[in-house]
Amino acid sequence: MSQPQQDVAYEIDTFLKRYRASAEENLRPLVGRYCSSLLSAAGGAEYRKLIELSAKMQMVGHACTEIAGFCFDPRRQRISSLFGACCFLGDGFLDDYGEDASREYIQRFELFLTRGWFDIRNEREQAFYIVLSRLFSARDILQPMLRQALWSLFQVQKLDVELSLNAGRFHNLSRLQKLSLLRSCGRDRSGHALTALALFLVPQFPLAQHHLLYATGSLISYIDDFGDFYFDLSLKKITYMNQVKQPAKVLARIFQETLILLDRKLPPSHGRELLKGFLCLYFTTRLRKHHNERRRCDSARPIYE
Amino acid sequence: MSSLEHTSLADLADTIALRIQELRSEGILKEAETLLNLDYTSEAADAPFLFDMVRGTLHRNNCTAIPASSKSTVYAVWELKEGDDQLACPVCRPQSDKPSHIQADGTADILFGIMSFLDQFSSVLRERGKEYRKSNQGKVLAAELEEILVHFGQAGRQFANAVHSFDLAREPLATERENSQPEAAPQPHPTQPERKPGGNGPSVVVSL
Repeated sequence: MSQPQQDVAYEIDTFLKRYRASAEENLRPLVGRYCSSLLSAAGGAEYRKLIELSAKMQMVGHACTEIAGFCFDPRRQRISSLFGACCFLGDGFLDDYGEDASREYIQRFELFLTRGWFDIRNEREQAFYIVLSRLFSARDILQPMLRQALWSLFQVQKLDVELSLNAGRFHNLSRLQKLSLLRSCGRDRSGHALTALALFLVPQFPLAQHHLLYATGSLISYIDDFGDFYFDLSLKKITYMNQVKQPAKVLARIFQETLILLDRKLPPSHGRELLKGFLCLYFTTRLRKHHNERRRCDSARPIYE
Repeated sequence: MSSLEHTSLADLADTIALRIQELRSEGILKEAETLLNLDYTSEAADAPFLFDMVRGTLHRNNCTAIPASSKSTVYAVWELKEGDDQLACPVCRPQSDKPSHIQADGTADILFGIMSFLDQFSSVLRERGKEYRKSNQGKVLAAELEEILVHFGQAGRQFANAVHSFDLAREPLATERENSQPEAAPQPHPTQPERKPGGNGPSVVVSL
């Protein structure tokens, strides 16, 4: 089940090449203008990660758009690129500058989401703010479902930061309670994120399909955390995947359940096959990443295409 | 839209977005004022339905069957669409039995939105206006505006005269006035053509 059909795999590979070029086209001028240091940071590796994530967002966005019966046109490609850039830059504030910076970022981002104010302190924050402005002006940001998705995504990020940094109020929880909370965080983080992406692309996305995309988002989150297993541990960041016993087995079970759900509930379509194919490829590359990373423990997050 | 137009528009929007934040840093715009609020908690409490994203189940807002573990995954839903009944919770059986009152932005809200925006940015706009008035471009614009107003004054007088003559020349209106208020028959205007004799017959006089 973890191997997509060869023709789908080939198609995804072709699309990913196209979407790297599209991400480059959409984001390079923006980054060059507002955060030029990112282009050369870590010998260009940082920028490549941004492009990879944006291409991945476009690939998932493409599948979601087709599932809803729409065409993944250049406008939707641009929106997905911005969404990817937003996730990349936002996650950087949470992961790369230590605990205090993470907490401070959460406070500042809450002010932005509830009042609209964002204190820009450096180039990277400037680029982040511009990406958000462009993304938020691409659709009616106050549309109830989209608004809830963004707000819920922020709430889970907030909880995730507190939990993964093992904040005081989680000290007294039992292992089982902590695990349950970590599991929910993992589930909701990309669940809400994929819901938001789908709504940015197709505001009228049907309710029944939202549930399936939510499950897909949750799976992506667990796959991500499994791939970053050792990297997160080196940062002392706890996740469901690096705390649960037999994570590979747990992930394989979630993967299978999700694919069965998609097969059973989504009507047959090209979009569905793309989504399943992408999940299979993502799963296998992150399994490989997990094994490769077992011995490697430096502080730089590697790039995986 | 060409890519050039897109780029310049995007750049302009970026500049405005950045400037707004600078104005707040400079203390010209107040942090206590709200530019954007995505917190949907209070609005969601009034929604008739809740959708559990994890289980794919649609509930009534007060349904007791919503699992505690779904607290972070329920989305407020205002109206049911075709096919949503298949997602219905078997306990509360949500139906769109009454029209939902979605908190959509109506015309009044938009008007209030514009007013609040003007109010929020009034000090900035005023300051910008003062600065602009003193600039060369502002002075040129002021001179042009003055000229336009002078022309408008002349044209306005002509227009008023025309309207005045038109109003008095409109036979049905005049006739109606005469009929309803016979004691206040209008005086003929110097430029008004004489009425044809014949009393209350339909007007043939149209002068603009």
